[in-house]
Amino acid sequence: MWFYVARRFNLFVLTLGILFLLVFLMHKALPGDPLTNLSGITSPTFNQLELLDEQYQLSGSVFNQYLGFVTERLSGNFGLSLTSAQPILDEIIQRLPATIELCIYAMIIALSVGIPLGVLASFRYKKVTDWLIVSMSLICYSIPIFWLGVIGIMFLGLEFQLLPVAGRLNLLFQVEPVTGFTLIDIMLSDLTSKSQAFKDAFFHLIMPTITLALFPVTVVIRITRTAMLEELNTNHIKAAEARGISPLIIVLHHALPNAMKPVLAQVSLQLSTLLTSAMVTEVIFSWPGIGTWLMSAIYQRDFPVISAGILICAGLIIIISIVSDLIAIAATTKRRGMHHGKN
Amino acid sequence: MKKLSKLSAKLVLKTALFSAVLFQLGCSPSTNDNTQREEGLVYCSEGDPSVFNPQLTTIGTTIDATSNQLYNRLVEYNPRLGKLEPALAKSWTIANDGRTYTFSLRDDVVFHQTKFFKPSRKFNANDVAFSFNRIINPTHPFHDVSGGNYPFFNSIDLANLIDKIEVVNPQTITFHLNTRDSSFLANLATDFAVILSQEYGDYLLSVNQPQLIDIKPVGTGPFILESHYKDNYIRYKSNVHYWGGAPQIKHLVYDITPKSTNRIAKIMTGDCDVSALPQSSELDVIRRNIDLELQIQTGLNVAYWAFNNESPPFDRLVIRQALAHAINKRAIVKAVYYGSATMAKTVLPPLSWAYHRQLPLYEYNPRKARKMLADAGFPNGFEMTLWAAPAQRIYNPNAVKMAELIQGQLAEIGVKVKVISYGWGVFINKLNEYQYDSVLLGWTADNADPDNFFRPILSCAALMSGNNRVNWCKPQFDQLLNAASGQTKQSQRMEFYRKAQQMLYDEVPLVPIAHALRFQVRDRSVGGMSLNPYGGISFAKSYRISKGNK
Amino acid sequence: MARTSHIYQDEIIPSPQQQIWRNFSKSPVAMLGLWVFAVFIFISIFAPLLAPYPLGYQHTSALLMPPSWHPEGHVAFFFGTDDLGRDILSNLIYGTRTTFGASLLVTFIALFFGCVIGIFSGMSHGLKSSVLNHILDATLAIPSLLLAIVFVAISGPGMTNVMLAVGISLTPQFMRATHNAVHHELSKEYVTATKLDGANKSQIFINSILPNILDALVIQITLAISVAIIDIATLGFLKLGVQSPRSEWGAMLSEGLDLIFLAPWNVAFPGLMIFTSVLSINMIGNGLQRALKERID
Repeated sequence: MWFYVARRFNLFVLTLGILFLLVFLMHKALPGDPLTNLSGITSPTFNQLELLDEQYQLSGSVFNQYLGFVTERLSGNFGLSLTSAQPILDEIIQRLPATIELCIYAMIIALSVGIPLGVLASFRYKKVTDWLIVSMSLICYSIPIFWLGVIGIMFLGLEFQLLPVAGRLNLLFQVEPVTGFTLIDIMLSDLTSKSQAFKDAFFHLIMPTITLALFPVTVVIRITRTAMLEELNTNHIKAAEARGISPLIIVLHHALPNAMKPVLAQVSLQLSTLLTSAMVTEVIFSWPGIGTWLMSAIYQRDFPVISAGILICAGLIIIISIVSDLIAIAATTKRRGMHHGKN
Repeated sequence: MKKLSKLSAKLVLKTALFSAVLFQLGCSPSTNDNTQREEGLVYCSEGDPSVFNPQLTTIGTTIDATSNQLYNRLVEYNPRLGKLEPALAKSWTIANDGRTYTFSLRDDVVFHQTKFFKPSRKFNANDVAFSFNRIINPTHPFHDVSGGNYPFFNSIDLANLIDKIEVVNPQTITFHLNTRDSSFLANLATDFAVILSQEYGDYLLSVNQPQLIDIKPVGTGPFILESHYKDNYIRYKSNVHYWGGAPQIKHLVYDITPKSTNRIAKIMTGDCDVSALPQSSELDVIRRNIDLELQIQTGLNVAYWAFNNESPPFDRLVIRQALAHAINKRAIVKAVYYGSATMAKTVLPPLSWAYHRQLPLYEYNPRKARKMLADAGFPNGFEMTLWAAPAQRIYNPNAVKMAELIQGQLAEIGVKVKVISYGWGVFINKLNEYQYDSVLLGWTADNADPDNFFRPILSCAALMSGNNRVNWCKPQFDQLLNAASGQTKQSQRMEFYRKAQQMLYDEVPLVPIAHALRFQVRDRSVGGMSLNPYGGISFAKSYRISKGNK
Repeated sequence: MARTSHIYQDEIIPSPQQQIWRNFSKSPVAMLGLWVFAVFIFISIFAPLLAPYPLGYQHTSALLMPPSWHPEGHVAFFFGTDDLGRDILSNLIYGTRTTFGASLLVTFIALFFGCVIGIFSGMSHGLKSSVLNHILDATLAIPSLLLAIVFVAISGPGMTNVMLAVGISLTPQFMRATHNAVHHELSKEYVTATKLDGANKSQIFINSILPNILDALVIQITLAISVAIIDIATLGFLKLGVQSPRSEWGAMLSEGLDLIFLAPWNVAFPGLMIFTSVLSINMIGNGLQRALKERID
C-alpha cells in the first residue's frame, strides 16, 4: 500500500509541476509587460524592480525563472490585482469559501438524492420506476446548466417571486466572516435577528445549490444504479438472500459499501466538471465566489488575477482528487483487510 | 426486495417533505423584529467607485457613491427652484468687477469621526482653502496624491482662473479670480467641488499615508464610510452629527450589481430598495409591479460617437461628414433606448437655454454617404474600430448594442466596423492611449450651465486632462467658450454658444446621437428620493415609510 | 434471413456491427435520438440554404417580434426577432454550424490525436508507458473552461480559442480509453497467438486490436460530442467565444438575458436547441451502450 501512496504522491507532484509549467508558459505569451503580469505592480520603483528580479529570477535562465515563479507562488505571493491593487492572496481567501460552500452543499444534495434514487432504480430494474428514473436523469443530464439557472430565475424568482435570485445574503444583515460559510457564520455571530438572517441566507442558497447539484445527481444515480445492479447479481449477495438475511441489512451492510467505491471514484473524476459548473452558476446568480472573480478578471484583462485563479482552481482539483484517491485506497485496504485477513 | 424499494421510496419522499416544511417556515409571516430593514436601505449600484473622492473623476458611478453621501459643497443647486442655495457657505457676495467672491461659512459643521480619525475642531475656512488649493496648486502636499489629475477642474482650467484663495477669518473665505467667469458659482455647486478636512490631511501626512485621503475618506456629509468590499458592496452608516439633520436611514448599503437585469431582479425580490439605471426594456415590467415606482426625469445628457480626430482618415472633414450621414439615429433611439430618448442635433439638449434651435441636422442618407466616401478616395469603404464599454450609463443604456447597430448601418456604405469592448475600468485606462478610431461616450451635466456641456469634453484644456476623447483642440472654439463665460447677460452668452454649436456642426468632430431620459426605480416603501436632473444620487433625505409587514 | 437458393440452410450469424445495429434499432428512444442528430447534421451542412435571412441582418422595423404563434407575431419571423431586429430562426440555423458543427469537428480531431497517442502508449511498455500515463492524468485535471481562459487571456476571445481549449480538454479521455483498451487487448490470448504466428507490431495492431477497441471508442465519441456541445455553448455564454455578427447558441442565450423581461423567447429558443442536440446525442449514446451490453450478454 505504501508503494501505491508513494506513486500517488509522485503523480501529485508531477501534475502540480505541469500545471505550474502551463501557467508559466502562459505568462510568457501574455501581452503587456511581463513584470506587471507577474506581480501586479504597474510602475515599479527601482527598489521594487530589484526585489522582483530576485524573486522571479528574471535575469536567470528560463528554468531558473520557472523555479522562481514556483517558489513565489507556493510561498503565497500571488502579486497584486491590477484592478484593486490588493494582494491577490487576500482576495482568494475572501472568495474561495463561497465557492467551496456551494460545491459542498451541492455534492451533499447530489449524494443524498442520487444514491437512494439509484438504489431504487436498481431494485425496480426494467420496470416503470426504473425507466422513469433513468429517463429523467437522461433529460436532466442534457440540460445546460446556464439555461436551467436562467429558467429558474425567470420563473421562481421573477414571475412568482418565491426565491431571491442573486447574492448570498440581503446586505442589511452584517455578518462577520469567520469561516466564510454564511450559515455557520450567522450562527456564530451576535446579530439581533439571527433567525431572520439564517432564513434569508438559506433562501439565497436554494436556487444556486440545486442548479449546481442537478448534473452530479444524474451521474450519481447512474453510477449507483449500475454498481448496485452488478452487486445484486454477485454470488455473495445471492447467498445472503438465500440465507434469509433481511433485505435492509443486505443493502446497507453488503451491497451498498461495495457499490460506493465506483461512486466515490466518479466523484473525484467529476471534480473538474463541478468546478466549471460552479463558476458558471456563480456568474448566473452573482454568487461572490472564485468564479465571478475570475470571470470579471478576464473581462478586465487583470492578468495576475487570471493566472492566480487558474493555479488555485486547477490546484484545488488536483489536491482534492489525490486526497480522495488516498481515502479510497485506505478504505479499500481496510475492508480487504477485514474480510480476507492480511493483504 | 419489495420492502426495500418501498423503504428507499419513503426516504426520497421524506427528504422532499422535509424541504417543503422548511420552505413553509420561510413563507410564514415573520414576527421577529424588522428593525434591520426599517433603518436600513440597499441601493443597487451599477458599478464600483474607482476612488472615494469626486475631485479625481468625472465618472457617474463614483459621483453617485460618494459626492452627496460623504461630502458637501460650498453651494448647492436646487433644480426645482432653478437657483443656487447655501450649503457649507451661509451666504456670499460678488464684487462689482466680478472677480472676487467672498463666502461666509457655517460654524456648526463637524467632520466625520471614523475608526482611524477623530476631528478636534469644527469645519472652517482652512478646510475650503485646503480642498481647492490641492487642485490648483502644484506644490500642495496632496496635489500629486492619487494621480494628480482633476479632470473636471482641469477641463475648466480652474488653476488659471483662480488667482488666490484668501482665508480672511475662520468663517470667511475669499476667491480672487483672474477674469470674470459667470459659471464660477455653478461650478462650485457641481458634485466635484467637495470640501475635505485639512486636519485629516495633516494627520495622514504625519503617518506618511497621504493616499488614504481618497481611499478612507473623511467629509462633512450625511453618511460615514464603514467598509468597502470591492465590486461587491459599500457600507455607510449615518452621521448623527450632520449639520443638515441626521439622516433617517441608519445603514446605507450599495450593492454593486453591474447587470441591469440583476438589479431589477433584486429590487423585485426585495434584496434592493432603490435601483440605478433600469434599462428601457425593463420599464414595462417595473410599471406592472405595484410595489415599485418608476421615476422619470428629462435628461441633461448626451450620448455621442466620438472620432479620434488625429487618426487618419478621421482627420479629414469629408470622411467625418460622410459617416455622420450614415447613422440612423431614429433606429438607434428605438432599438437601444426603446424610445425613451430624443435624437440629438448637438451636444446641448433642447432643454438648455443656450440650445441653437435653427441648427440643421445631418440627415440619414446612406447613398450620399457612400458617394462622399467614393469622392474622397474610398469607393470600397475602409475598416475602422469602434470602442464601446459594456456598462450602463445615464446617457446610454447599452453602448455595445448601439455599437452593433452602428456596425450594421455602416456596413451598408461599405465601412467594416470592428467593435471593441473592455470592462469599464480597463476601458477608461485604455482610452488614454488614443489607439481607437472612434468611441461611444457621453456626458451628463453637473449643473444647468451650458458651459458644462462644452468645456469638460471639447476644450483644449480637457485634452490635457484626458476628458476630451475626440482628440480635437481648436483655440477658436475655446475662445468662444471663454467669451461666453466672460459675459453676464444670458442673451450675450447665447450668441457665443450659438457660434460654438455652429462650429461643432461644421467641423463634426463627434456625432451627437441622443439625449436620454433619466430613470430611477424605488420600492414604494422608500420616501424622500427625488431624481435630480443632474448630479449624483443623494440619500440624505430618504426614509422608510413603515408598513405593518414587509 | 436464409438464402433460399441454397440447398443447405446456412446459419447466418450477423457480424458484430449488424448485431449492434439490430439491438440499437430496437429501442425507439435511441432511434429518435439518431434522427434528431441527423437533422442537426443536415442543418449545419446546409445552413445558408435553409436560413430565411442572411446572418446578422438587422430588420430595423421589426424589433423584438414575438414568435409567430403569438398574436403579435409574424410568420416571416418564425421564432421572433431580438432587440436589433435579427431573425432568431436564421441565427439559430447559422449557430448550428458554430455550436454543433464545431463540436463535431473538435471531437473528431481530439479523437484522432487521442487515439494515436493512446495507441502508442498502450503498445509500449515500462517507463514510456508510465510517463505517458502520468502526463495523461495531469492533463485530466484541467477543465476546458480554465484552458479557454488561458487562451482568451493570451489572444482575446474568439472561436479558435474556444475550439482549441475544448479540443485539448477532450483529448485525454480518448487517450485514456484507447490506452486502456489497447493494453487490455494486448494481454489477451489471441494476440499472443498472433505474435507466435510471427506478426510484427503493426500487423498485430491493424488486424487484431483495432477492430476490438472500436466498441469502447464509440461510446467515448458520443460522450465527447455531448460534452463538447455543452462546453462550447458554456464558453459562448460566458462571452469567451464568437463575437458578433457571427452567432452561437450559448452567446445568443447570454445576449437574450438582457431582454428576459421583454422577450423571453430570446432565452428559451437557443437553450432549447442546445438541450435538444445534447439530448439526442445522449439518447444515441444510451442506446449504443445498451446495444453493446446486449451483444455481450
